[in-house]
Order: sequence, then structure tokens, then C-alpha cells
Amino acid sequence: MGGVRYVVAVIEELGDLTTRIVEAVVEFSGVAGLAKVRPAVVRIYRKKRIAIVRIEREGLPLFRASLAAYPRPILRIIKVTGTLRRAQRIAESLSLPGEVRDQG
Amino acid sequence: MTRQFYDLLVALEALAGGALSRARELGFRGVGAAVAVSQLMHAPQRFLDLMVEVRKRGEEEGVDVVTRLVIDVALREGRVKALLRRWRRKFEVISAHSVDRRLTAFACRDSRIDVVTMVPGTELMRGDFMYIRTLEKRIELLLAPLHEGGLRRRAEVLAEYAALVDLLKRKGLTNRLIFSSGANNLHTLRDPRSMAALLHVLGLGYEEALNALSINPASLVKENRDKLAGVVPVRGVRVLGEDEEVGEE
Repeated sequence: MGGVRYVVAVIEELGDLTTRIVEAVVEFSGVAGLAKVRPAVVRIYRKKRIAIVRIEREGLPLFRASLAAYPRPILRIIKVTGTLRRAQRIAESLSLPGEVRDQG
Repeated sequence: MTRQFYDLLVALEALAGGALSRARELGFRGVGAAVAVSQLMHAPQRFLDLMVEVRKRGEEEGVDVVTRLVIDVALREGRVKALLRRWRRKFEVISAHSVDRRLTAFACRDSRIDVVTMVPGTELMRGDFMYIRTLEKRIELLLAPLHEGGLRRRAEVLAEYAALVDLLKRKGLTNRLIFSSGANNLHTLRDPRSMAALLHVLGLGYEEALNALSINPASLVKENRDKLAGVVPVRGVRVLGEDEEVGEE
């Protein structure tokens, strides 16, 4: 079964986020892994340094593993949701970067 | 009930330098404040003072700081025994890196060492597993080696970790696995669920992977705190309080 997930995350490293994510996934699992994850940055809240990234549901473990294995921290995942609306609501409810905590 | 995650190996100096707040932000309930034996031998008082300071800061931040001694250099057996006599009761967790065969074998068979940390390029023998099972030790993998060196080196580390995870699954010892960051700085710390996802990708079930960052280290910390408090005076004996009853098993 297909489906996507929306990852709400704090941006740890400024710059081209899409390129960084693709780099991390390809470095960990190659092009085949990238095809499984298919990451796409949907929205960035620049002031809060928060991003919403859409990924394939089946690629979620690979996406998280790629971020963990990458030598530099790119994103700190706050929450994973099934709908963009919920992801946006969470992102909007978050306050300053220092106050953002993992919600599982 | 929500999981309480532990990162059982973070350098004490990194914790003093801001890693404690970072660990809290990432969602860790507790951290292991690690002092390497080489550091402790040179300036014991400095590190013990720093430990007290970090613990106090941990209380303020709401992070459980676990004191940990790490034997990370190949020492003679007699030297390790002397160190254990001196420091065992001052640290909540004692671990040894599998830096050479003799130290690994000793760490597996001596009950005063709680955790055997697997260094890439080393392995455990059949007898080691027997001791690990009997003495209820933990086997630890670190995230830090996956961030060091070139792509080829990191791929080798990943392959070794995958092989060890497979071996632990076959031996039914996945409940003894601990996954820690081994961080010397802020940048090596990662959130617990991403670390668990990495273990999952290496072949471990997701729940077991989460346990490697929560239940497995937390149970070790609880056991050792009970031992140090005198609740467990010797293996297999538990002193019950007035209101406690022996549970039916």
C-alpha cells in the first residue's frame, strides 16, 4: 500500500535543504534508496527554522536512518504525520527554535 | 506509557559544554556521562568535580545523568582489576571497549564490567557470548564510528554492525543490545527514534531497536543503582522494603 508521510523538523544546517537531504539519503542507501524515500521539501518556516518534508511512507525508516548516519546534523525530526494539514498545524504551533522538543 | 530514552555514552566534557541541553531537546530522558579511564588516571579529582557539576545541571534540566567509567585502552588484566577495585562503587556503569582480544575476554567474564562496547574491527567469540548471557551483560554499539572517516570506512562499519545484529538475533540476545551515540561533541548526537531507525534498517525489529535505546539501558541503570544502594547486596538477592511483597512468578 502506498501513501506519504509529512515530517515536521527543525532545520539544523542552513543552506539548500533539498540538496542536503538528497545527499544524505543517496550517501546512505544510493539511488534505489532515494527512489524509496522520494523526499520533497513542502514548506519552510524560515523564522522558526522549521521545515515540512514529504516522504513515502515505506521510506520513513530509511529517511530517519540516513539522517542519523550522516556526519552532519541536517534535520531534527519533531513529529511525523499522515496529512499536510496536521503537519502545518503542528509547525505553526511550535514556537522559537530553542523551545522545540521531540514529540515522538 | 511513553518511552524514556537513554543515550548511555556521551563524553562528560561534551555534556559540560552544552550536550546536556541538546540531549534534552532531542528527547532523551537520561544520558551516560562517560569518563575515559585514561583521563581519570591523569586528573581524577578534576573529572569527579566535573561529574558532580554535570549531575547538578542535569537535575536542573530534568535529565537523568548516569555516571560511567569507560575502559578504552588495552590494559593488563591486573591493572584493570586494580581500577575496578578502586572505582567500581563510584560509578553507576562501567564499560570496556573491545580494543583487544584479552580485554574483550576479560570484560565478558568479569561481573564488575557491565557493558562491552564493540569497536569496529573486533568480534566476540562463542565463550564471550556464554558469559554475556550468564552474567547478564549488555553489548553496545556506537553511532560515532558511522560518522568518522571516508565512505568506504563507514560502509565497513555498517556491514559489521549488520553482521553483529544478525548474530545477536540468532543467539536471542537482542534484549542485551544498547545503542549509544558515543558523542564527543554536539554534532554527533541524534534523536533516539532516528537512531532506532538506523538499527531497524540494519535488520533489527523496530520495537527491539527502540528497546536498545530505552528499556535495555534503563534496566541496566536501575539494576546498578539498586546494587550501589544495597538493595541488591549480591546477585539474586533483593532486600525488600517494609511495604514490598515478593511477587508471584
